[in-house]
Amino acid sequence: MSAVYHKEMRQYFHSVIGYVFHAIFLFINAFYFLLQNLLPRSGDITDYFQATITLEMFLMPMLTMRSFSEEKKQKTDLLLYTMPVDCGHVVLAKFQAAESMLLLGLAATLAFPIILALCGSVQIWITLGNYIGIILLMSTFIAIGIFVSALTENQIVSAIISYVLIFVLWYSYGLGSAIQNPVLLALFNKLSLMQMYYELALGILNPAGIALNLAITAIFLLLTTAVVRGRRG
Amino acid sequence: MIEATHLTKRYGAVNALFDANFTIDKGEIVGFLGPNGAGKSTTMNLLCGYLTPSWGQVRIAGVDMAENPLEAKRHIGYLPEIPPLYVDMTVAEQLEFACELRGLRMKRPQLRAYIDKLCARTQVLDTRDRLIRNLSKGYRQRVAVTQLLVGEPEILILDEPTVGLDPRQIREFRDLLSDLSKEHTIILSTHMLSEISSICGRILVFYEGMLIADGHPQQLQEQLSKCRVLEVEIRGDAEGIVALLRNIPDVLTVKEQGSGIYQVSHRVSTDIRSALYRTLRTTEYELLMMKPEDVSLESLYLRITENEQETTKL
Repeated sequence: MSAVYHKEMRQYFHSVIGYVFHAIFLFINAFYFLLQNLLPRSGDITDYFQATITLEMFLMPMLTMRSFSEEKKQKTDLLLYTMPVDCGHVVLAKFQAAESMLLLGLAATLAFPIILALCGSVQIWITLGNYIGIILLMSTFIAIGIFVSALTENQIVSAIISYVLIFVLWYSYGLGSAIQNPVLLALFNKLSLMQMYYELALGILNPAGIALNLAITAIFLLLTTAVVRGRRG
Repeated sequence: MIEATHLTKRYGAVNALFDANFTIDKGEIVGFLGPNGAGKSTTMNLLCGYLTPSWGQVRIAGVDMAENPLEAKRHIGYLPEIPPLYVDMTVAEQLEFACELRGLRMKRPQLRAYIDKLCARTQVLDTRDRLIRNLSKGYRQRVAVTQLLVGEPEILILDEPTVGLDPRQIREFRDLLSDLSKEHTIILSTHMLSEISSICGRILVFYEGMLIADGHPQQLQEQLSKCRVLEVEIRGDAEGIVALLRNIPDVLTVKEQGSGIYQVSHRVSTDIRSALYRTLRTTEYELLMMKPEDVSLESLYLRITENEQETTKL
């Protein structure tokens, strides 16, 4: 599994994708930190996190759009599947590599709460809750992106479908209110990842929300493994 | 070494491969022959575990591919038609990746030495640190073969390995294959009939998803035709010669080709040359030449596919 993980990491930084992702990620975070905290001299870090979250989530397909689609297009998947490597491990390695890119990006943003702590005070639990929420949420979006990339050979199609799925899962709480059917309404509200994130952002640890988030991630990873195995069947 | 039993691959209602049964022993060099879409690549993909059969079984070195694919795949190195290389990696990085996939655990200096050894064998050592995207087709193919050798798998499966290579590269590649054949069981599919005849000791012929023939070129000729043909040149009147030749035991037909050339077909199990010589010696006819028809792979291939087409039409 580590072979595929290292290969993925190497490919992120051999192509421009790794650098562009980190540049945009850091720019968005720095820009909103400046706008929400530094210029108004505010110590409330919640505004900064809430402003960046929606933009960050639309960066995730950038990491995952070529994950399986490019392998399929370049026919390099034949190497992976004819070597003594389990399909599930390949999926997991690709997920871990994208996850590592996210964590690297987030690590750089730790500078902002540190700056706030140096200049005044920082709400530790809220900051921690936000970071956990972002990691959980983005992991789900990475799993969705990898799943979609396993369905198509086209990177652009992969990115567009990922955006649609991410949009639906993020805004399902809002979409639910437009639905009259009480069963569908309840389902959409339950599936809302926005709800889970905002609870964590407020420092509320809701195990049900976290479990739902982890379950959705696991389901998409299992589906990806099934798709990868199924395409060869 | 390889056992395929009732191997079938269906895509919807279409049989890409139907009920193929064969065994390949250790050290054999087997050629897969057949037109496009005949089922050669499907068979190869099934043998190396890339595809799962709809029906039937593949056993590699006694291991069932369906039950223990990881163990079965350890014995196989597969080179598909398009070499599976990451163009944004250097040759060394690509080979290191292949080593890791094969589970070879080595320290950095040993790994480097191992890769250098493999590169030297396939003559790609000078491209070691070059990006694969900058390599020519011939060099990419060599890198893919180097990758194939990582972990020394006993079975090498090569799907159309010479497509797109120039004649010199084809010759070099053939030499490389001859070298590899000393230590590996090799399965090779190609359209280059000369390639198969010069390297392979056994041929499996595929046609429209069916394995229709299996054997040495000579055996195949005997399997597929009921007779052998002897070409003779005799001076004298044609009518008398034809009548005389027809009277030789085991002769089936005699065809006059003109200019004193005759094609004499006879039963597969017999050699009529001595009888023909003795018959002519007592007559005024002069025997100038006697030559068994050359069983070229081209003629065999065409005959097989023509036979199959006729059968299909019927």
